[in-house]
Amino acid sequence: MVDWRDILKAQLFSTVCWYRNNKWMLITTFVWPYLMVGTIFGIGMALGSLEEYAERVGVVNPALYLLASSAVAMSSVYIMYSITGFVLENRWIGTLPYLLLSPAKTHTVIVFSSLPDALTSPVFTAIAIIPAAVYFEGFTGALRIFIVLLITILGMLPLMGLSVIMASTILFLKEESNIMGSVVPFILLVSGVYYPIEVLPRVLQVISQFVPVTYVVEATKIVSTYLTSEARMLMVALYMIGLLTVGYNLLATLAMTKVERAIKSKGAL
Amino acid sequence: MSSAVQVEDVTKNYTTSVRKGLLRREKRVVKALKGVSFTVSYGEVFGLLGPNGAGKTTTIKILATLLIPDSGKATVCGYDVVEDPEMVRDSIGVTLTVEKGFFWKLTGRENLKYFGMLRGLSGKKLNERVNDLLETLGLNKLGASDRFYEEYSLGMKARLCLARALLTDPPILMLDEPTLGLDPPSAREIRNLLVMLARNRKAVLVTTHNMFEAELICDRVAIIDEGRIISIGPVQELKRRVADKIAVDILVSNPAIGLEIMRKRLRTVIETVGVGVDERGGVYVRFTCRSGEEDKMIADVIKSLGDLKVRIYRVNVEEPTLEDVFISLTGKAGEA
Amino acid sequence: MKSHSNRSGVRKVKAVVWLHTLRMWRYKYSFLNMALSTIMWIMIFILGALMFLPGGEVQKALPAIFWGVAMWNIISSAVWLIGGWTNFYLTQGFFEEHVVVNTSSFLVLSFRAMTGLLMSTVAIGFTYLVISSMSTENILVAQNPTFMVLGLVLLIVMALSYGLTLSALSFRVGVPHMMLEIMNFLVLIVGGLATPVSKLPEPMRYVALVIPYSHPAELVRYGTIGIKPYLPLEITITTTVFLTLVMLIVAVFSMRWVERYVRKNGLKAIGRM
Repeated sequence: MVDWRDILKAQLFSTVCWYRNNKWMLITTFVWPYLMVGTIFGIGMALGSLEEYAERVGVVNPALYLLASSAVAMSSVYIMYSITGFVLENRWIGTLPYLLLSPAKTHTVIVFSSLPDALTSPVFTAIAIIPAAVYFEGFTGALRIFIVLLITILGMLPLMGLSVIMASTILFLKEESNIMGSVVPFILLVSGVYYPIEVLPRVLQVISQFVPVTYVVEATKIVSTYLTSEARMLMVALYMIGLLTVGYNLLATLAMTKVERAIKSKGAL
Repeated sequence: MSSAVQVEDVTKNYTTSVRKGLLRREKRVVKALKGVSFTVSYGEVFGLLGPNGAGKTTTIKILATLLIPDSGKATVCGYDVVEDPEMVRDSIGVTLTVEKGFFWKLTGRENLKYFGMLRGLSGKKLNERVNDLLETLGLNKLGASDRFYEEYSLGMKARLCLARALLTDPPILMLDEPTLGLDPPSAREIRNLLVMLARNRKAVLVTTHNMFEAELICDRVAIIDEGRIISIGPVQELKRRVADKIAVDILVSNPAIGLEIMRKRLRTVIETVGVGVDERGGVYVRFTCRSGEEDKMIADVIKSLGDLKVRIYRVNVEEPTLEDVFISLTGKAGEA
Repeated sequence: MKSHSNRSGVRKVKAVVWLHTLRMWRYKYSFLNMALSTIMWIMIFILGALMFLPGGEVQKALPAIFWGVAMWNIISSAVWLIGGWTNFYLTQGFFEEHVVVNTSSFLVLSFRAMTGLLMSTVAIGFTYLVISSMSTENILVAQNPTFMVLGLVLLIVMALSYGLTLSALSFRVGVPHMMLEIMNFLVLIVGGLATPVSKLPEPMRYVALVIPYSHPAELVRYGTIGIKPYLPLEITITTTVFLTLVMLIVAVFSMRWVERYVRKNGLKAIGRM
């Protein structure tokens, strides 16, 4: 009987091969957070100042915060694309039925097949920004990035559930890319990666409470401020991540079971 | 009456570059056609036969004005393919590949209408022509006319491809592997249609590496290999050229040394021997020899096979087919 | 003969317009999604950049931000919808299928501009909704409509020319998607789109002036919110017209050259034969 470890091992092998054969993409992964920060920094500096940003967002080291939140944003996008994109890509190239033929639960196949790919992004982006962190704050900076990485990986758990729900919807729809194309930037928009969510309209602020990335961003912000009084808030953020993990994964298992049955009877695979 | 297609000593080279190290690139010249000449008349199905990479598609592309030859002359319907490409295109219907070249989210009917409009058809005439073709090619019967192209099976795609080539009822058709990948009933229907079109005084040029198909529908064939036409004529005449010959087919075990080495070793005994794998995965050795010489030749081949530790399952001696003509001329096994 | 060829030209244009309209309808959700997601992505960055401003100055900056995003969207749509689509067009074998029906592929690709412009309009509409909801004043001001229209028209022609040049290039070499993405980012920051050239720091200002898009962008800003161009107005107009013509000529020549090249050498040499 095939279990999650076999699936994980097989996909890990394929991910390593992919990066080995696409070195240019590997380089891009390392450059991308700097490019994101460069964009926001470029426009921002033409409009105002970094000091203003630090004050309005409430961070001590805005440059490091921008880098860390870019890493969080990039990783979140990558996780969602890895899981939902996994279904989409395999459906396009016709390998989805074969993957689902693997003697394990569909939910397990989808999650563990996309996990290596999803994990590489937070790790690579964290590695990419560590030199900058060391430059700004020495060893403490590197330590902070390491903590952000851990929180990002923790934040992956509810995001995985959310992505499986999206993947199940994709299995059911025809113009699949639509969901992903809009949902991913929407999730980032409401999670306030570069700005306090208070600047968003009220309705988006309410939605943001149900988005896991919001809490990962919040925790990142707390880690990059040095106030110990904020530690309690960090616990709240982690607690919310835990709550959303249970909620979304329960929903995801339910959704995938229903969708699997429906598509098999409809013959839509 | 002038020929529908006239090709005289056409050559074509491609220059490609191959990466050698990080920055260095090495230029390579691939000689795709090395002086190809043939003619196609109205009312005949002419087959251009050859293995992959022989130059069939390059020839079709030159005749369809998609490529300019390096030297030589080619005319289609009396127009020069280099000087009068627009007039050539007005006289031909072309299928290049059956799996691509249509818009996914347009129905078969809409795709045909679009290409019909580009061909100058419009209004009632266009609608009638599209309807006729959908009917003739059996797409109406299959319920495919108003389905999106993305939902088409390979057979439907091939039919739609042919329908597009026939939109303006051109006097000349150039079809590159028109039945590739089709199921036997669909392939038979397409073949019948091609023969019918030739009976209606159209010149039909098909490329194929399916010998069986060529034997069934072609009035004349040209065998092309490594950019050269090595033989040309009616199928029967080509077969007669090897009529005094006997075709020998030996089914053998899979050689441990590999097919290529086995082929090389056997060529030391018979120069034009073919080695290949049939539809069931069986390895076969094929060659033709003069009538009366077959016993000695078979003995020589069997001895060589024995030296190579290859087991022999069956030996068949028969009259030559077009495939045997092909093997006899090229020394390559057909891919029927 | 000439009138016959004119008639056939008109018929071809009609066919191509019909094709793109039909495809636009069939892919309506994808287009809507593309417009929406582009705007959401850009808003993530813009909202972040607004945090660099003191709270009281945000309102003043919003009209300039709106026009910056709108102009960037026009450029980005042209690049993706013409340049990006070429890859699909080539891999699906449409180049050959159009040559054999006596139709230039660049006619088909040029009319992709219809799709691009419609998508930009939708995306700009979404941007307007988002930014105007943040603003206390009307952001759609036109202090000098002539310059606004002139700037927008020339920017559109420039963007289409760039899209078509990229498209022509991708017939010969692979244009990596990531490269286009990075170029888009660079144009937004240092191309004088997101902010007026005069507000850019000293070295970036000169880079912006070298990027052709900065000049029509300056005209649009002058026509709408009245920010004077960094260079004198007459020079900005002359430079914009000149650069638009150069980009248009480059596009036309590269398309002709590529069509000739492909007939001589085949599509991307032997690998694509």
